[in-house]
Amino acid sequence: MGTVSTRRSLAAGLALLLALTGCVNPFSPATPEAPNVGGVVPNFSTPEKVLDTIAEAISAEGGGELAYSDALADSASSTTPFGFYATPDPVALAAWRQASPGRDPYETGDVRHERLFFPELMTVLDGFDYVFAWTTDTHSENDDINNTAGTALLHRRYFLQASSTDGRIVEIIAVGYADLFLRKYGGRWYLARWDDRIDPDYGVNPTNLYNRSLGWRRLDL
Amino acid sequence: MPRHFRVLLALVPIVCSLLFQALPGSAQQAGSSRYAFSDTTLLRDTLGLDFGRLFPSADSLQVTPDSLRAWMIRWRWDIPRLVFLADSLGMPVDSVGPVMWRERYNPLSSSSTVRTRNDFRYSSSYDVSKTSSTWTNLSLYNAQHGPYYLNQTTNIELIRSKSAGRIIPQQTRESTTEVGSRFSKTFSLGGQARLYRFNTRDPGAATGTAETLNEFQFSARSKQKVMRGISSELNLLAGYLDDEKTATELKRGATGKLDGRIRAQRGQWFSHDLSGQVNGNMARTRRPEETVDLNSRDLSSNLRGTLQLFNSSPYGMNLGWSTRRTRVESPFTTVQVFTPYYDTLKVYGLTQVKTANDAADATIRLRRDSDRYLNLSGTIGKSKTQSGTRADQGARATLRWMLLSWALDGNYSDTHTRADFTRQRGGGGYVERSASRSAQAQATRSFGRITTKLTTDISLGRYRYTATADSATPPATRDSYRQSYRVDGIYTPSQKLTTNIALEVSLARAINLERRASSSNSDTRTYRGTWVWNYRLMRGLTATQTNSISADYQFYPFNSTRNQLSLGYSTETRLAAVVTPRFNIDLRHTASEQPRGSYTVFADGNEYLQLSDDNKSFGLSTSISYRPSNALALVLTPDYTANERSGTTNGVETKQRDDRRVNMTGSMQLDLPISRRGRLTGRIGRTYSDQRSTSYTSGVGTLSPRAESDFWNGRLEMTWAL
Repeated sequence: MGTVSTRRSLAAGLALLLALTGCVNPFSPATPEAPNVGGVVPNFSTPEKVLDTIAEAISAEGGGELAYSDALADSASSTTPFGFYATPDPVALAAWRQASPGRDPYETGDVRHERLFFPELMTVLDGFDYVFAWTTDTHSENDDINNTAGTALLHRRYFLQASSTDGRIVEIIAVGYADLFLRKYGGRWYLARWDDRIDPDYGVNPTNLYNRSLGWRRLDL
Repeated sequence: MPRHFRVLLALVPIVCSLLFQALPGSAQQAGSSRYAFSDTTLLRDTLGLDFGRLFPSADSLQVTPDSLRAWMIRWRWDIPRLVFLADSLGMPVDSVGPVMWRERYNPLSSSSTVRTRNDFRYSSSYDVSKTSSTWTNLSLYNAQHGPYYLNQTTNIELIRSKSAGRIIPQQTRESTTEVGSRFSKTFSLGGQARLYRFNTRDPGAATGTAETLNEFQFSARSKQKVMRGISSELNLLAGYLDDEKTATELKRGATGKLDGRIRAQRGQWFSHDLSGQVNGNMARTRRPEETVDLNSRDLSSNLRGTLQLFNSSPYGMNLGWSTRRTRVESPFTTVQVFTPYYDTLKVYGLTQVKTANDAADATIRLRRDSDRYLNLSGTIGKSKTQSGTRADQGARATLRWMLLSWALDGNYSDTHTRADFTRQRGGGGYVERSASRSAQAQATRSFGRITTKLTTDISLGRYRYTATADSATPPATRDSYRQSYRVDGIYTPSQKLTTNIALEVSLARAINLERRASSSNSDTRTYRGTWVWNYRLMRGLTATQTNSISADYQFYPFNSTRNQLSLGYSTETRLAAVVTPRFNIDLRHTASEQPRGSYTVFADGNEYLQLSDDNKSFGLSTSISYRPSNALALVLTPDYTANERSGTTNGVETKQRDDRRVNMTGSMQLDLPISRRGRLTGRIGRTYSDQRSTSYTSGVGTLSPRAESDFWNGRLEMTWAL
């Protein structure tokens, strides 16, 4: 039970706290500029729409960076109470460790790494036109979407094709499979986990070194 | 003056008032209302362990209750034993188990009164899931005869990953053998052989990835008692290294590792732990396909210190710091072409990868008892890698207090980061300055049979970028803001009935500041209400129902045509029946509906909500468990879910998709003694899943092919000790 002197001390402390912090609100966000261009219009209303937004964002290259970033869960900035995890295929991780002595793999739960990864991916073939696409994982067709719990587990195969502006050179610069876990929070869906798997048709160390998985490319950032 | 320092300064009078009234030895007041909303399922006894004081203990140790519970189960220790060991060893509670395990095999830790000893422990575990299986075999052998000792550890891990219908094997085998003699209680000499093999097959290439590592080293271990209250350990390993990585490098030469620890303790008021390690290689190295050897030098150093002052007093301080440096050299070969005759020259060199990490943290604790304290902490860190440099600094204040029967909790944190990304491979070339601050307050109080909790929090994240290279394109600057208020109330009119109501209001803002990105800015206002009641219908039969309603208003300040509203109604009813102490049935029914729509401006100039789609989900699941003995439980979990999605076109609702899914899992949980020294533990089960969908186009349904899956899952571990 607090005494009179305790209450007085606390009141004095609160008064001093308010006086020192002044009239500045330490939690006031900055004022944004009015937009001038459209860019990718994100849609996070369903798990499938989140994946469509991700595909459009990667295909839009620089113009899709923000849409891609907004699709990810982020506990570091308190956007969501859960974070984003991107885990590489264990076989890709083992091969990367061998090929990269002295380097530590990235922290799988660090959303900042994923945000840095996006512009890095755009530079794999700089100046080329990118097309990213999801297709069905024929070995795991069941998507598990639970609207009541706000969770979804989707299985997809992905590939990223880069074409030179004259169309003469076409390379697949990312190919693999992904188990994607999404969670609903605050009325929209977030990508919370990307478990990457290599495509056995290409392997960990493909003959054409462009045909890497995104898991490998995340490691090699 | 930075704002977070202003806040810390403002807390000074509160601190003084606490100190003036701190009366060591005064009786603690029970703050039981603080834990009234905790997850009580964590308190269920298991494996003979009692979790009675889990929440206060986890609070006191500053770990999460589920982590503390997991460590207790992992090491089979109760809370008093875990806390006693952490205190006596002078280490965090999460380190106690691994350190105690490691010390079993330290020749200087074994009792000198034991003449002959043979310890053998073997464990084999099999972990299977839908896409991979892991079989691990671990054997530990420790023998002692007089002053002579032998430690042998073998670990074999076989992983089979399934991707796109193909199996990719990965095999790791490691064996470490140490033989030696203890010359005194404080000194031993010996030799160690470490053999490591790694193989994986790459389905996309003719050859796989492999590593063959052999290390043969001389070992020396020592312990020193410098003076009363100061003790130390020093260990040295030095010898020959032969490392062959088929894809990247061959390395042969000398290797060594020196590690030590000094602990100084003076009474109850001072303790300092300093531990460090230096290891390195001096070797000849080359790429596997080349013949020219190069001299390489690898070095890694790590130093860590922890200072504790007045740990048992009402006021105290903890200070931790660490520094780490690594340098690894690996060979590369390039071919230079000289014009005009196109002569080529092979150039051999070493790539050097350097990293550095420095970090320090300090906490000042002002504590009257477990319900009244103030912690002030600060952290600072700096790291350097190939990607660039990064510097972090932060401060945090945590206050807990009982005032007029209210249990108050508050915290404020402020962190600043500067990350400098080096321009390389077309990326990077900019500086990121980010700041994150958050504050949270919580007040809990019991009014007889009613317990209430008021929670509020606010946070702001700021990200600013500056290009440091001409061609760099840094991300757009942005802010992330969130605030929320929540009221919880529990009413317990009798032992049979409990009811709980929660109301929450929150605002989340995603703010891109630059005009190139601000069109996607959004403000999401969420209103959520939950009502839960729990009623014991009769002995052994309890009903629980959770009803929730929510509304998420998503506004786009620069694109109002995208404004939308998402509503949600859900109910979950659960019947838990304890038919007999060994036979339980848990039945669960869920129903939810989530209509969503966007706002359209009508002719009268007002915005009206127009529904765009509607999701309905229903689920029925059962868990039937039968435990014929303490060693065995059988669990059957059938689960059926149905989803219906409909859309609205020109104001007319039409069906879009129906999904039906059945999951059936049968599993067996084991905690089975095998003779007197062995035990089989874990869970193994088989899951069958079947799904079928109907997609509608213009009202005409198309049935999809049946998607089935059927797989084993679980983990079994067999341990056997001699």
